[in-house]
Amino acid sequence: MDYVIVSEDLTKIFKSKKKEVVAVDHISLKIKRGEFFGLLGPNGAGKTTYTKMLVTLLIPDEGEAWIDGFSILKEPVEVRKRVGWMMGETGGRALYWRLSGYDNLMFFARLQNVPKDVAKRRINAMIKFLGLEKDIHKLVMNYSTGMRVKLMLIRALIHNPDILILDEPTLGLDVESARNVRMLLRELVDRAKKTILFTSHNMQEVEMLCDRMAVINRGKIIFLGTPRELREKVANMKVVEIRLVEDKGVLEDIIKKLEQLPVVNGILSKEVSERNIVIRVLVTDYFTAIPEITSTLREYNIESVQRMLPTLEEAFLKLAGTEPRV
Amino acid sequence: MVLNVVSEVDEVLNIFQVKEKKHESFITRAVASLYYQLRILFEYRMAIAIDIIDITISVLIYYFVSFLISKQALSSLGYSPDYLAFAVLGISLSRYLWSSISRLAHKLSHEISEGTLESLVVADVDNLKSWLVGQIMYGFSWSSFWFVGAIIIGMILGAGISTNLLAWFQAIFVLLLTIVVHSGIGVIAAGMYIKHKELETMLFFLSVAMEFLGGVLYPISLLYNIAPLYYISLSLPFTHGLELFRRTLMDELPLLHPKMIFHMVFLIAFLPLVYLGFKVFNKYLEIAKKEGILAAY
Amino acid sequence: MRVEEVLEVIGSKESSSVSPWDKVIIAMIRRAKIRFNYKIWIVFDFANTFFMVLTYFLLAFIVKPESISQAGYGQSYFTFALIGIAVSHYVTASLRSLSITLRFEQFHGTLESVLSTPTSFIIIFLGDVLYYFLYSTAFLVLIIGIGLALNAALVINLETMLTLSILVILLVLANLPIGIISAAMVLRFKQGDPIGWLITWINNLLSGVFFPVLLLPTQLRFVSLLLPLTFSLDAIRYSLIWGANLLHSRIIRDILYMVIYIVVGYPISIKIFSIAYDSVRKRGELSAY
Ligand SMILES: Nc1ncnc2c1ncn2[C@@H]1O[C@H](COP(=O)(O)OP(=O)(O)OP(=O)(O)O)[C@@H](O)[C@H]1O
Ligand SMILES: [Mg+2]
Repeated sequence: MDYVIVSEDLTKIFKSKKKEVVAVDHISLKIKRGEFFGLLGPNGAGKTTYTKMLVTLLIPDEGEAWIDGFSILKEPVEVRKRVGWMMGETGGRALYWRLSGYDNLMFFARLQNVPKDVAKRRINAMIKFLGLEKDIHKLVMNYSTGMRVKLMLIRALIHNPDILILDEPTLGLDVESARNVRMLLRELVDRAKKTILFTSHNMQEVEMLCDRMAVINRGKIIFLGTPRELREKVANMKVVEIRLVEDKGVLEDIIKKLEQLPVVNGILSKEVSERNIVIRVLVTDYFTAIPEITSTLREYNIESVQRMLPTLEEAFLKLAGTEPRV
Repeated sequence: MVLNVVSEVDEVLNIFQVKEKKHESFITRAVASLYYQLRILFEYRMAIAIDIIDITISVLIYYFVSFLISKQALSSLGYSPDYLAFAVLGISLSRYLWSSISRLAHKLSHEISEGTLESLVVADVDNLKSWLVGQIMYGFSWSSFWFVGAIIIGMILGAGISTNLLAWFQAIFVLLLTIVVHSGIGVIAAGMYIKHKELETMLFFLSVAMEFLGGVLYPISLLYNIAPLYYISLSLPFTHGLELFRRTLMDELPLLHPKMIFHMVFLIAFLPLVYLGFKVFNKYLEIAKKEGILAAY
Repeated sequence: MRVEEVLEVIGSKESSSVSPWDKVIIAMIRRAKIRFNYKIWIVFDFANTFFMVLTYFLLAFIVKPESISQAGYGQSYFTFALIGIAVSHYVTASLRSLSITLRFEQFHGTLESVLSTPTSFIIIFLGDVLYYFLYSTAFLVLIIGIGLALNAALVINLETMLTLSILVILLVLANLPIGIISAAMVLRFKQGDPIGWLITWINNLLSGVFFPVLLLPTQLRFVSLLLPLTFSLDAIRYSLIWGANLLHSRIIRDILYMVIYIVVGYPISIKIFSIAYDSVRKRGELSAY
């Protein structure tokens, strides 16, 4: 099999005076040529850290990775030639704000060894497609977040790399722009045979675009498979949310009672505010669970007992409990 | 499937709900603004260390330059022949020029581009005034640090600066007067700056030019060599403030001395600028609020 | 525009590349464009220098000419100080600005963008240095122009101008290692620019910018011998005041000193920089706010 992104036990630990953060914890992944691969994870999961190591901006503490067969540790220049990278999260900080969009693109194109006339043609085509023509000669400091994100995407594509590593490429875009960008990315894989690794914390987006995906949490891969497989796992999570108008003093009692119920599979979260208690529990099925919970807690002041969609975090928690299938 | 969106929105709103603060006086807030600035300052102990060395080096340079200066030439221009004292008093006072004239506009431009000014003004206009006064006071403390440092180091190196208590009272009076007058100019500048952003560059140029024309490092009568500049120099309040200040601490001349009285009158004539300053500032603030340009980039 | 067309344009196969020299020029132009968007600093720099020249012009009226001639620099203090101001501008502009620029790029994340390309750090650095060099050269020309208008006693002819160009290149080359070390520190520690400050102070006080080093007490004069700027200033003054060319023994001596700095300075400073760079790449602080 032709793998273009391979990482083995890639690990990054950030040490500061007070604490140590294992941002990426022995991640091993293999991504095939022509694959659209999504990396899904909540804030602080380690997505950015992982992708920065792949593009040689960050030196790992352990492990190794290869991009198109070139080692990120020993041949960083070869790696950089083959990868287009962008980081959407910072809202386009990684551009020169005191240069125009056009000057930015031209500068980075030349650093990527693209001759001037070719760069010009590519820039023109892409700004037309992404609707930036009008503003391209304005200073980037006057751009909106979305415009900057588009600029960074163009920058990542400008040297026609075979591999794209995109860190939250649609963050900050409006609905239509995000749709355009997604379409472009999908076509880049389908027609131009690019390989894309992209990160997101939007499950829907990953589902829509990716052939294969991984879920990362606290630096570890806790799921690897197709989006459909993930959906099936999450779909059978049944969550019920109980809201009570009660003082926090009774919380312990309530939790104890809930835990004794056979329909309740576990407590997901509990929140206490001044005069409110909100508890989310995992149940075996809604039909018996809701009436049973309601009658068990009848002596308390119940506001509502409702069925809910699991949040992404809850899905992660559940996945974290299962064996990662790497 | 029902998603309980409303309650989530409520929660978010809860976070942003700020408790009613008890009304604080104008002075309290000005002091708070000053304190805040000072705290930032002390968090950057490095900046202080840098400044102390900066002062020392500057004074040392003029210490060595003073060996080059002809004592006869200096006294023939009517000053005592001590160039080190001459230069030290000049540079120590010139720091106030920068902090009272262009610092405010510079700070303002910073707050505008960070978008923090708009929130200051939205809260209430008094806030902005406290901010203004706090900023002036902060600039004042910073320059005073320079002032004291330069004079102490100068005296250690043997500059002939008066130690007479009365002369010092008079010097501090002159100093305060000079600062007040120049702060008036600074407030006007800051007000105009709110609307005319291009002024910032002008202001920078202006404060550098004033420092030069005021004769910080040389006796202004030498400006005769470039005659038009000499007359411009005479029309600037800073020139007169500096002259008074030097004469006080080098020659211990009283304010009513014939050599002093002209400079004194001239400086006092500029005092109404302070009142005018706040008027102009308010006017531009009104314009800015109408045109919504407080957070323009 | 449809996706297919975009894909076609992006996918066009091109094999030619961009030469390193072109990249240096491109990096220089980008710096120039950025700097000229901060007009205020250029105005400030210009005004400061302009008034500084005028200040020393006036001060020269009350200077004893002997104190300059004793040191071997002719009769005019104005000429002496003028050259000092112009030459030290190179050092501040190319050294201080370099570390400030680097910190700025680190702060704004552009450093990361630049380093994600296959273009080497050194090329970008050279582009920046070239910009500051040209900028300071414009200043030099301007200052000399003002000086001549105010009757500075400068010897201006083809020979001294050629000598000056070579000396100025040597000046920047000899002072650059210190700039590289201070940039390394700024990259790594992110706070201030202590080495840059220190060198600027020491240079201003001890290398004879505003007064001849002869005035310094002996111990301090010894320190001044460790500064490349002392020799650059000496050589440039000799050439512009006496019309001496590269074959003059004093200038040959100064050049030798500068060459020593260059030979010793580069291996050390580049080593320090690469240690700092690797450390920053390990700590994930190529972009650090
Ligand atoms: N340079 C750094 N120094 C110290 N800690 C860091 C550094 N960069 C990241 N971290 C920490 O490493 C962890 C992973 O961060 P990372 O940015 O990779 O997460 P992420 O998945 O990209 O999150 P997000 O969705 O918010 O972008 C976090 O706990 C973060 O605080
Ligand atoms: Mg991230």
